[in-house]
Amino acid sequence: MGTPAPLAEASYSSLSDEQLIELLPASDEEKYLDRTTPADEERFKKEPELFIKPAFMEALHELWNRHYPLLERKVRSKLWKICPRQHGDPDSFAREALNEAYLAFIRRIKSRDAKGEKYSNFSGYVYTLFLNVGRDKARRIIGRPPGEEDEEEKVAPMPEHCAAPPAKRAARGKKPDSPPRPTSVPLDAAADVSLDETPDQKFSREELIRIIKGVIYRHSLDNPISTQTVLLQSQEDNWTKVTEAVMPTEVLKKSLRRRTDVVKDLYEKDCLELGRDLSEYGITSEHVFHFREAGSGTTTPSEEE
Amino acid sequence: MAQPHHQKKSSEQGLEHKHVLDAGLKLLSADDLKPSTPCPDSLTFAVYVQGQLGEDARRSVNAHVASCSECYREYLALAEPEDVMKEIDRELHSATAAPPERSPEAWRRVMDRIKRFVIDLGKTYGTGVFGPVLVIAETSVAKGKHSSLKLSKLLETSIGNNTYRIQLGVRRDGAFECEIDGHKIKDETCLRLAVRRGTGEALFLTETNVHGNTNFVLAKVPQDMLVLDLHLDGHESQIAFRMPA
Repeated sequence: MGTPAPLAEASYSSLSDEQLIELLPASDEEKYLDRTTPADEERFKKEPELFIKPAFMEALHELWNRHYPLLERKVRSKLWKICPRQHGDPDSFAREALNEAYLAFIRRIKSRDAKGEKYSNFSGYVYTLFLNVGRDKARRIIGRPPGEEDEEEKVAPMPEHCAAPPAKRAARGKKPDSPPRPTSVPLDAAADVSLDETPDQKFSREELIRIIKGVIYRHSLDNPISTQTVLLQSQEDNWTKVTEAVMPTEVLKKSLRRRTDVVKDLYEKDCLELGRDLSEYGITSEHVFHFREAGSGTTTPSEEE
Repeated sequence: MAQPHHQKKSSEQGLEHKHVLDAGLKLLSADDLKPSTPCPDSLTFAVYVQGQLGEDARRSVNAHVASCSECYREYLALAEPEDVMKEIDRELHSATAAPPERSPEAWRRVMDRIKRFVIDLGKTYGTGVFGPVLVIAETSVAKGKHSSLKLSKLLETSIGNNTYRIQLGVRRDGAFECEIDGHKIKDETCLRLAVRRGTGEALFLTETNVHGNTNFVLAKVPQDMLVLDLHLDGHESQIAFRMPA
């Protein structure tokens, strides 16, 4: 496909979005001017937008000018909210992110979406691009690019033991989240526990922790908010902190008390479900308490005697 | 009133389950609670917050967001608040499609909030605000001789973005009748509702259509305090009332 000659400015404004998109190139090769010198090539790597063919640039600008005002209104407050503390100025963060979104728009938009298909919702596609760019920028600032594991945070992948008990899987009628494995653990905790953990007991304790983590993981697949609530409350033990983290006023414009009530509802509902899931493995509170006591070095009554 | 046996048993089981989890969580170290996967890339995340990710990918991001405070914060910032509330409502009620059920503690908090505003259907209050509702009209047998209702109260209440008009009535045969009309419906979502005893036990469960309309009759209802428990996408309201003696 050749390069279209630029139309008069008025002509672009008379075209529909679909017509403008059809004017765009299908590939990068088509989109950019040839680079003839090494200096051009170097510059292209840093600022490819300078090499976009004029006709495509005109069409891109027309599309940008049409969609930007509405999307900017929608996205600015969100950018403001994800501004990292390290940046310090949410207004300028949002402004910078919008500038970056413009560059991403003219660099990335072609006549087809990333899957090579026609845009089903161009405005939605551009909105996604805005969010994408904004989050990337925020992550760069805090030094935690998404998709990369922080060394400090690197933990073992979820063990295969995370599989649900077979009966439950069948009841749910869903495919298992990981391959099925034997799920029983030695539950004669009283016999296992001593202040010095034996290798057998250590294994049992690790097994128990793996099961608890597995149950939480499996539950979190369909319950991200309530799981976040339970994990936060178990760490913080402070309803105000947990409520402000899980359900700030931006989400629900109600008093702290009303929001806390909802958060407690989430917590209690999850406690019941997670506790029930643990019980399906035959784990009882007595069992877990024994391990806790052993782990913390608390003397059991029988040993005091 | 004595609790039914099955309810008591279920409550004891619930307490045991809660103890198991409490104790289990305390076994976990801070490292155990960290996410087991890296943060999703921003394009995936941008699609996720709009609820447009495919099921498998969505569940995978769910699991990450549940244990990653940074991603959770970004989710709250980038998703529409209504979508977050819908997710909360879905999670709260996922185990029981309708009606919403609560733990005994949660129900006690609801009761603490509403017990000052019990509408006695046999009494006259006059129009005006009464707790969570606006009393629009009241009728008695003298005013509505040809109606099947002996007594009725027309109330108005807002839940989320919607406003409903709710008529609570006592029929001549003593049955309880409830008619709900969507008065101002901005969110075309079914309002889920339950008629509960003061203990939280559900006597009747139903939902409106997307226009907010439904009606039902309960032939036998107890004369102690009852609660009309209304839920709409994470928003809720309760109306406490009592049948006339």
